[in-house]
Amino acid sequence: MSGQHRVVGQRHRKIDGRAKATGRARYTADLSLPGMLHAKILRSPYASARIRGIDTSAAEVLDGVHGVITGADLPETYGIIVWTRDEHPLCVDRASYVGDGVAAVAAETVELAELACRRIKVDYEPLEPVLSFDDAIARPQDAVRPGERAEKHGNVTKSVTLSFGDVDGGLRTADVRVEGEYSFENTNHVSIEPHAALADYDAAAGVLTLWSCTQVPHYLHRELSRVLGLDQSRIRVVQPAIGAGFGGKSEPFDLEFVVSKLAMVTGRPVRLVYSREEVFLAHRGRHPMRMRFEVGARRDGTITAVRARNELDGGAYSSFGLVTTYYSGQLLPAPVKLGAYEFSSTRVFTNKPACGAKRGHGSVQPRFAFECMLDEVADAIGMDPIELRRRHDIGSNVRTINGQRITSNGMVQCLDAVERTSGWKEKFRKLGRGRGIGVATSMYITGTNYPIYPNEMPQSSVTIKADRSGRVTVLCGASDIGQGSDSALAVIVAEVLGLDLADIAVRTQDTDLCPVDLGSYSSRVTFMCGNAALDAARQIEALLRKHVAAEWACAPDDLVLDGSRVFLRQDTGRSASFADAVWLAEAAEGPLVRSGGYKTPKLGGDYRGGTIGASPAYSFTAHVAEVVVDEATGFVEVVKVWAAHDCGTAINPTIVEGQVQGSVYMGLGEALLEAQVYDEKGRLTCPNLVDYKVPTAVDTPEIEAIVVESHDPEGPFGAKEAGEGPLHPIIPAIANAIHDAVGIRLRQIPFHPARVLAAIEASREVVK
Amino acid sequence: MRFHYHRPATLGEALELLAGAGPARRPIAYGSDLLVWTKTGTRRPDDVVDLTGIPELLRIEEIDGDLVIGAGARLADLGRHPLVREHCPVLAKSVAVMGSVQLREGASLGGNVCTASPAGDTAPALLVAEARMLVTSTKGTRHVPARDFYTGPGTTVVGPGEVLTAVALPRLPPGTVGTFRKGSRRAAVDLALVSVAGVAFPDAAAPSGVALRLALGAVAPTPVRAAPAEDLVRCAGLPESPDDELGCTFAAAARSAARPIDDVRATAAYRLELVGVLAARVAAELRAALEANR
Amino acid sequence: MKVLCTLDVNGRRHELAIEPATTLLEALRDHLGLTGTKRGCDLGDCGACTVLIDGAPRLSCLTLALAVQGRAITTVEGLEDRGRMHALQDAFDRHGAIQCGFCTPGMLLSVKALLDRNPTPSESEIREGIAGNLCRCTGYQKIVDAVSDAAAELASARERGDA
Repeated sequence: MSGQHRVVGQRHRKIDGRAKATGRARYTADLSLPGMLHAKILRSPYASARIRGIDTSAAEVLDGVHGVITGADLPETYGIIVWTRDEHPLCVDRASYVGDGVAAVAAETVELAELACRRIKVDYEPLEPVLSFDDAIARPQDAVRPGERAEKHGNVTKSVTLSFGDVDGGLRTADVRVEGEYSFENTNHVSIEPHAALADYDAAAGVLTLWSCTQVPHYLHRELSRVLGLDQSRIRVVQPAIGAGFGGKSEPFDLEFVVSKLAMVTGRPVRLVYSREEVFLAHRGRHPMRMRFEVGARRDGTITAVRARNELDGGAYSSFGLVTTYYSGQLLPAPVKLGAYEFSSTRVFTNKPACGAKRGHGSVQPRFAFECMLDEVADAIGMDPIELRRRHDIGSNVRTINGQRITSNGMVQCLDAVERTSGWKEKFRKLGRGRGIGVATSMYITGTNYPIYPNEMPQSSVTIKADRSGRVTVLCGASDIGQGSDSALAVIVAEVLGLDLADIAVRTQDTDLCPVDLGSYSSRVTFMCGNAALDAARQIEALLRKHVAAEWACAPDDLVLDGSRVFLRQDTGRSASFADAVWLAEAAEGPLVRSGGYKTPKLGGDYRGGTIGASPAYSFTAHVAEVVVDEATGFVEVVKVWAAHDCGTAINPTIVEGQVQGSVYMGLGEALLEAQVYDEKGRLTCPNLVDYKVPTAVDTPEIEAIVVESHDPEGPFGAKEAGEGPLHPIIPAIANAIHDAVGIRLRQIPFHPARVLAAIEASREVVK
Repeated sequence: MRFHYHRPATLGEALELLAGAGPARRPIAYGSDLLVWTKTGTRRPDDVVDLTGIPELLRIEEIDGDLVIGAGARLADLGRHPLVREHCPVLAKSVAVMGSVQLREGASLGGNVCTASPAGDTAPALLVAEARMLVTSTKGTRHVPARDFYTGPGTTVVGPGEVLTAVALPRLPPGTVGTFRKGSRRAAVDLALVSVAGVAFPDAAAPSGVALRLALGAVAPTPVRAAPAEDLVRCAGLPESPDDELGCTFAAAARSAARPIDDVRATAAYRLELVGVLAARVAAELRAALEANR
Repeated sequence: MKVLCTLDVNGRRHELAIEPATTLLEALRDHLGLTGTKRGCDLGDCGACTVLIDGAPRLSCLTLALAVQGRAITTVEGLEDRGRMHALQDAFDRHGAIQCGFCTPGMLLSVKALLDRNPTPSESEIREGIAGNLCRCTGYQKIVDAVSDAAAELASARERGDA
């Protein structure tokens, strides 16, 4: 798998770069249709309330209002996970968080829709909300999600305990034991594009078209059918350009159902764009977690045992909660090898906006805790923390203790790279008071082993059409959310067929045209869609070779596809254009349209839940962060970050670097600034960008991204993910750097100045 | 949002529009505060009177030794203006760290002053400059010292029918040095958790030979002068370092002038801690600047 | 009650009938169909709506359309020249400074204003210049790289007399 490729590995421009640079790219909120109405959702001001009645009459009579709906109009539930369909587009008889939608209006203008919403009278019976993990456990009788499940489980969404090896023994026989309690706040994705949806219903044909910035068109497609009572074959989901997601758009949302229903009711197109506040209310961000860890180690750095207890505050709906609960434990047993491991994770419902998937879903929080503990272990045994991780890396082609199959593993190269480029050896423990350097590592899945609804069909399919003009069209259902998946597909196909990128058109994101792809989540697209594209491209390649070879009376392998031409290897003077080759093949075979698919092999541990966290490949990351801590004010400045990431093969190194840098940035924001905070009534204190602070360009340091390539045996051209793994280590790396600088261990996110200052002052007390 | 829009060409026209019109008719400069409030429903004006078409409100000029800045002057222009940099560098420094480039290009001094946020960035500089606020109505102009201008969080002495038309900054004593520090959660585009503006100059009348004017922002309902810290300097001089004995005493004196609250951005306790540190750093910086000038 | 408003956008004059409280952002997107300028928060905190008014970067979501009649307004659509991308657009594209692209129009205009005022900015001046434009995808690094590169390119074009 070594050697130069023609297109793969080159620093091409993204195929959608020009459209985005010139303002031509059209995002959902940029679209409009003749006669379009604007919708707004009325949202509950109470965190928990029974809805005794809704009177929409005053809204309906307003001139310019064309449709008003409530939960009664959409009684069917939905949810991203088929076993926990616990959401209604609009509340039926109960509001479960401040912001839960209770009614919606379609009107001539946004202003009118808002006015009409204010005229709707909702008879609420406020209830005492459940607002914390402890509260949720203590009050099972006050179910956030009442029903059969609640009668058995109270407010627990899911509880998972898994145990591998002898943890008690491992802890008992350890030379060093470290314990700690860690906590992680609620954080939001803050994609710059707010959610938007536009629906058009052709009543005569009975066909609904929905444009949405969704990361999961296929799952959305299924839930739309269910909720609207329309056959899936009568629904078309299209994704326009998408202004980022990070997991925040990876499940169906209320607005998608609301615009669809209002379009059906009014007979006119309906568009709804979230305000920034609504994006915060819809949330589906990172779960707050309280984590208690015990780690046992030997003097040589071997980790003998880890025990983790994780408490997840899931908010008002299940969302991805079942999966999050597993991920909070299942992804820890690599890169450092564990002798024994047990985790116990519980996710509860509370009356707050639901948590879902955010970049590094479920594993960022425990990784923070564990990488800090590794630092404490290294400190206790007097070993350099990079050396500890290098010595005890699990290696390649092994199984983790919980049954995950690791194939390619570039962890050691990552550690070597950051150690070298950061000047680690000259800096660690040597920078003087107030300045410090820290390291952390992580691994992450490259797509998951299972589709969200059980089935045996390909997880990704790609159709390739070679046209008589010599142009190739790639059809794939995956959403390019900015990560460059469309470009990756083009590069892969160009590589196989010997084409220039300019000869390839990628048409993604339309359920009418494209075969099913499960969506842009869990870092699956490059690997799975890439493999599907590879499969389809090779089929086309084989046909072209066969028929040109027949025409030239040579063997198919005697042909070289390059520069949008076909050459005879033994005599490159003999050549034909790619288009000519297409003509030959099409004359014999009919239209050159071929589809490829990809399905993961059966993976995972042989126990209940063993497939969750199983992935066909894992990425590996190491970060070093250098910080300056102002001891008088608690301000932490991250001076520079070195981030090495094993992505298998960089289909496009520029894009991989961008993903690494963006991931580091996002983790840095969580480490230092971001927290979604609620008051005693369950209201968000800061549903805006003034007080929910994300890093500006001034807050963000130089980020040196280093691409490491371990060439995965199963990834397309060896590629693995680069979109989520690189976020994890920055948070503990900063915590560990702060320790190097001023000797304090921070165990609560974010490390805001007051918290840092208090910890510094407390450590001075101890010294006294 | 729904309102009527007026764009008078002269101050007289503007004042006529506002006279007797009631609170639902609001003056507007570039709108960076008023439009946010109107969108979020905090204010519901029926009419807005755009002052940015009135040339005399945009002037920055020296009149009889005072630097007179029209209330409509844009913060970005103020920050770049040679007269402001020369006459009142502490104001130029404050403006440089306010908001973003876009906000500074689309916000006015008058708007910022009249919004009167306790965390407002121009206020501490105006207090130490001992500025006079020119408040005008159809009845004429009154001059209000900056220290009397702010009456509470979001409130000023500007009454119905009145408009802030200019801010006059008297010439500071010879040899004055000034600086501004702001503590915020992130390094750019943020509200102050705490801010400190200070000017110092040689003063033969002071036992220590040096006088300090120190103003604190975001630690009280209005920006405040820190009299105890100023008195300390009059007697004992400016500290050389925030960490030496005088520096610690100075920090405590500054803190005693602060009455911060808990809010979503920070706790009162942290603000108190931070204001002492920043004030002491300001003082030490001013001392070094005075020494450099000698 | 609608009023007449004349806006000069990208060198063309447009006459609109708008409600007085219409922001420049709404006028551009909804009335003129210039959807390149984006709405990220509508309250002036994200910078996605940045346009140039007489060359100065301004938040169009916090600017009344009526207040900027007679001013030269530049949006992202006005950066290219007869199909040729502006050096900044090209630099962004080349350097991988565009991921989801939603912040890009506003970012480009802030950067243009920066370079027009300060043709040789240091890295920290670049970061200060774009501090009002939030990006959640890139971590800003490739944006800074693109701007440095474009600044150098524009400087040498000026020296050659090309610019």
